[in-house]
Amino acid sequence: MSISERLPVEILQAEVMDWWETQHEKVSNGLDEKLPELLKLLDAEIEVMPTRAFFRKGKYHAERLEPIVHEFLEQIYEHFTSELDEAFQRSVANVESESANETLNTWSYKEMATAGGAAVATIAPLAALPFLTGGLVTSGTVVLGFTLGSPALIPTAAAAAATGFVVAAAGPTIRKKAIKKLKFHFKEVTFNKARIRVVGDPLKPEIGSLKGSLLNDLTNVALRRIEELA
Amino acid sequence: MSPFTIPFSVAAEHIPGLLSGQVVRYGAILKDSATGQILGHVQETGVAQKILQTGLSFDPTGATGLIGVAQNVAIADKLNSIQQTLGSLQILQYASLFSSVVGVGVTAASTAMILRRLSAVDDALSRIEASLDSLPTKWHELSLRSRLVDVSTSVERLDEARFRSDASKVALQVEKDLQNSFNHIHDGLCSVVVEARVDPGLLRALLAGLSLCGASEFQALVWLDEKDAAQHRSRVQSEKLRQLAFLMPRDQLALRMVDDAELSFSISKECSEIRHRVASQPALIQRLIDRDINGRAYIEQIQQEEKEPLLLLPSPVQS
Repeated sequence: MSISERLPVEILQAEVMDWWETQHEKVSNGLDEKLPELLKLLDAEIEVMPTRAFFRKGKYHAERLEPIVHEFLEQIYEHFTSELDEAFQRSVANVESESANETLNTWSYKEMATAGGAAVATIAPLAALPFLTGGLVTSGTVVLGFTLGSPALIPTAAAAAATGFVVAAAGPTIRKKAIKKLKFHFKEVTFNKARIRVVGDPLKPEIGSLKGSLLNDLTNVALRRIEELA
Repeated sequence: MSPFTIPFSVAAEHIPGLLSGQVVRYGAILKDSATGQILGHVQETGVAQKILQTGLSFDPTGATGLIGVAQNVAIADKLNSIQQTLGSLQILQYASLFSSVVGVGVTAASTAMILRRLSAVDDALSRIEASLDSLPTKWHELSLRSRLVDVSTSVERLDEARFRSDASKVALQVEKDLQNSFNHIHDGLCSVVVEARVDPGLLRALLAGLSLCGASEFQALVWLDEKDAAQHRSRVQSEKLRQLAFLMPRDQLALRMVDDAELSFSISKECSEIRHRVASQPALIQRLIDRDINGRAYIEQIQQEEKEPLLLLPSPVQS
C-alpha cells in the first residue's frame, strides 16, 4: 500500500523533500565515484600523444580528447537520469498514487525536469561544448586552447607552450625529460578542466557541469511535484 | 478540568504496532500501514516536559539539540516509574517514541522550559562567536543573537498574558513579534548555510532557535484560538523550511562543514523530522476545527495532564 492514502498534502510534500535530498546525495557521490574513469581514459590518451601534437594542441583536443569527454558526459548523464527516473517512478507510486493530478502519474522524469515543455532534459548542449574552453559564462580569447577568462590556467598553459619549444631544440635525454614534464603539465590542466566539467567548481557555480545539470533537473522535478501536490 | 474533556486516547496503546511496523509515524501523525487508516495525532503533554526538566540535558549544539533528547535509557527509567503497565521492551520502545516526538503537536513546554532552552542556545552562540575567527558575512547585519532575546521576551509576554485583562491583545502582538523573529532567523540561516565554510555548532544553535521560535509562534495562535491562521502559518513555516532545505542538501552541507562532515547526516535527519512535524500541524488544526475544540482549552488540557507524557487525538474512523 502506498503511503499517500489519507495523509495530508503537507506530509506528502515533506516526503518529496526527503526524496530530493536522498537523490541529491546519490548523484553527488555517484559522480565523484565515476570521475576517475574519465581521468583514466584521458590519461591513457595523453600518454600516447605524439610529441608533434604538442605544437597543435587545439587540434588534438578537438580530435582525440573532446570525443572522450563528450561520450563520457552523455553516457553518465543517461545513466544517472535513468536511475533518477526509476527512483522517481517508485517515489511517485508511493507518495502521489492518490493524487487527483494525472500529470504526476503519467509524466516521465525527463518531462518533469523540463516542466512538461516540448524539450526533454538533455546534456547535449553542455556535452557539445569544448571541455577545455567551453562551459564558461564569460568568454575570452583562446590561447593554446586555454581561455584567457580563466587566469589560473594561463601560467600552466604558457609553461606548457614554452616547454614545447624547448623540446624541439633539445637533445634526446633532455628531450625525453621535457616530454615527460610537458605531458605532466598537460594532464594536470586537462584533468582539472575535465573535473570541473563533470562535478563543477563550488567557487564558480556559473560554469556549467554534468553535476549541475543533473541536480538542476532533480530540483526542477522536486519543485514540480511539490507544486502539483498543493 | 477533567483530564479527558477533549477525547484524547493514550498514545502508548500503539506501541506494539510501532514495534511491529504496522503503525508508522509521519511527524505527529500515526498511520496504520496495513489498513491505511490515520489513527490520530500524537501530542506531548506537560508530563513529557516535566520528565525533560528533571535531569535531562539540552545542548543545542550537541546531538540532542534541535528537537529534544535521545537519551533513551534515561527516559526509560523515568517512564518506568509512571508506566507500570508496560513491559520492559515496550518501555524502551515508548522511550524511543518519546525521545523522537518531544515537542510534537502544539508544544506543551512551560515558559520556564522554553526560556531555559533559548538561554542554552544563546550561551552556545556566545561561545561560538568568541571562538570563530570569522563569522558568516551577514551575522552582525542580521543581529541573530539579539533575535533570540526577542523570542525570549515574546515567550515571557505570552506567559504573562493570562494574568492580564488585555490577554488577547498581548498575545496578538506576541505572535506578530514571533513571526518577525522566525523570519529573521530563517533569513540568517539561509545566509549561513550557503557560506563556503559552515560551523556545525553555529548551524545547530540557529536551527534550534528557529525550531523553538516556530513552535512558540504556532502555540500563540492556537492559544488565541485563531485556528485558520494557525493552519495557514504552519503552511508558511513548511514553505520556509523547504526553502532552507533546498539550500542545504546533506552532501553539500558535508562539504561545507568545518571539521565535522559526519554531523551533516544527523542535522539533515533532524531537519527532515522538523519538516514533517510542521507539515502535520495543519491536519491537527483541522481536527480541532472539525471537533470544535477551543485552542486555549486544548493547550491547557495538555499542559495540565498529569499521567500520560504522550496523548493521541484520534482521527474519526474512516471507511
